Amino acid sequence: MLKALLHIRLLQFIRIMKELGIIRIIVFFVIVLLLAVYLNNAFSQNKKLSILACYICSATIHSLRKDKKFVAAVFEHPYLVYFTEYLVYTLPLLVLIVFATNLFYLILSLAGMFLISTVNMYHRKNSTASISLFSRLAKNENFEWIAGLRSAGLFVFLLWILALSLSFISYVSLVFAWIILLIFASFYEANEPLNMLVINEYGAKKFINNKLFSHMKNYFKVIAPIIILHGILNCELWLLTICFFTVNIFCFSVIILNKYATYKPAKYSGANIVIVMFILLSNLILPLLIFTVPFAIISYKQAINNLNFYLDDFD
Amino acid sequence: MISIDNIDVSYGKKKVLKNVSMKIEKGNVYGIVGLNGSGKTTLLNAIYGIKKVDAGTILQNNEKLSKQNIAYIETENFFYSYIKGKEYLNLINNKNFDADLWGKLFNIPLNELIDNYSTGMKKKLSVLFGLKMNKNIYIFDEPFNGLDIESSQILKLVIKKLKKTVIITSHIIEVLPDICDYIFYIDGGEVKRKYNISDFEKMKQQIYEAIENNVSDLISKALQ
Repeated sequence: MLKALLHIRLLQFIRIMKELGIIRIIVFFVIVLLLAVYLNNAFSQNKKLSILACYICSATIHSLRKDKKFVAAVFEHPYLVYFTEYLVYTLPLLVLIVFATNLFYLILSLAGMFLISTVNMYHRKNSTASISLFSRLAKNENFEWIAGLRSAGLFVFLLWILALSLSFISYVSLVFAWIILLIFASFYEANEPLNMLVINEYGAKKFINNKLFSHMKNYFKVIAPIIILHGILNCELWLLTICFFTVNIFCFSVIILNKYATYKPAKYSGANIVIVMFILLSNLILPLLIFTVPFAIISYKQAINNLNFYLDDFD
Repeated sequence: MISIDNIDVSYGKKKVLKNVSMKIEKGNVYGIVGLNGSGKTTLLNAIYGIKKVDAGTILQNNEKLSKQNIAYIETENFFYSYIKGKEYLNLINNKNFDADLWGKLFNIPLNELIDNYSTGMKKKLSVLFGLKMNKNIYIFDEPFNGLDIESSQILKLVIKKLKKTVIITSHIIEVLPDICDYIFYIDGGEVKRKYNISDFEKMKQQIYEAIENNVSDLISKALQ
């Protein structure tokens, strides 16, 4: 059965590649190649980074995947399925780890990946689901946040508290801020149905600008305390902190733009997950911004063009 | 009046609607019946403007029909996960709409997550969403799918009393004669006939006979 699932994954991967289109596939492979070179150097200099990369990779996939319920229903030990899948997905990274570090780091990476596979993140669907402090930020029209915070609010809140509490340790709260961005990115995976899109009766440009402004404002309120406290308690890292903060907010906006650049009513795009992962990575690996910045500009134009089809009567 | 004149619609090379023409008068209820795949939803998508027409025009009083005037209740019940019924309805600003009253009428637990709703409840919620939009033109695509007898009857009464222009599709032929002023029968992407209230019984018989003629040989072979 596991073999059949991996075969399905292969077919899904091929479909995602088709959805991405030839230009994006080329860019995708160029990025992967550059990333491999960059990581090889980074791992040689700092071996601990290899473990972190492996954890981030598998944690990202694990938190973004939508089939946990299905896998749990079909397989007796779903964590084994997840672990096997992550082994396959991170194979290039694991090969890099073997070459750049040693067996000890490989074992540590695998152990961490196994632990991540056992975590059942936001798998609850009931009316008493957690409502966090941030729910106040989610007004009626912000359905992405209402839904997202209901499912992952407690998790976000815990991360937020941890990030603030550990601000005195350099970089730690930045990593938490990145994980929070990752969770918030998952709020924008599903496309709303058409009747939700047209509610405010805005034209495409007004819709996008309004959405970006209101959501970035709310996100700013969530992430700013973490960053400011980190900046104050780690004065020597002020420049890095500001850069991280700026890119973090920027990445958040690109995720929204990407959603509407490819928007189709009530549809879920597998290709978007790949793109979002690269957007998220550019918050950690700044050189990736050479792709993300032009991508943001293109996405903004694409989003307006795409939404024009649905919102043309509201201009 | 909405004038649909000679529209063609295709998906790739496949022509789904062929030379379709209709006149929709203000304040009337128009039914569109047809078998699965006959082009009903495509026609509604074209009217609403989310499916481009290859040829022909769709006008309201000689101007482009605007989405601003339309509430389109699609056939698919897609909702955001982890949203409650009331939160979903609160997305629309309409102070005259009493969500609790409507929720009671349709027996929908508005304070529960939509994920926990039955198919019928989801359908009723999407109908309420459309009603709250309060537009001049309502397009309902298969609104009776999944509804129980009571809810179907309530929805029929609501549509009758709406006093708005309504275009409604259903593959359940029996429900439309109760609420429609006119019914268009679509087959193979073409409007085969327009029926008045007085012809509805005849329409049912004709459609059943056509179906029987089409499949009786196949049924006999399949049962052999």
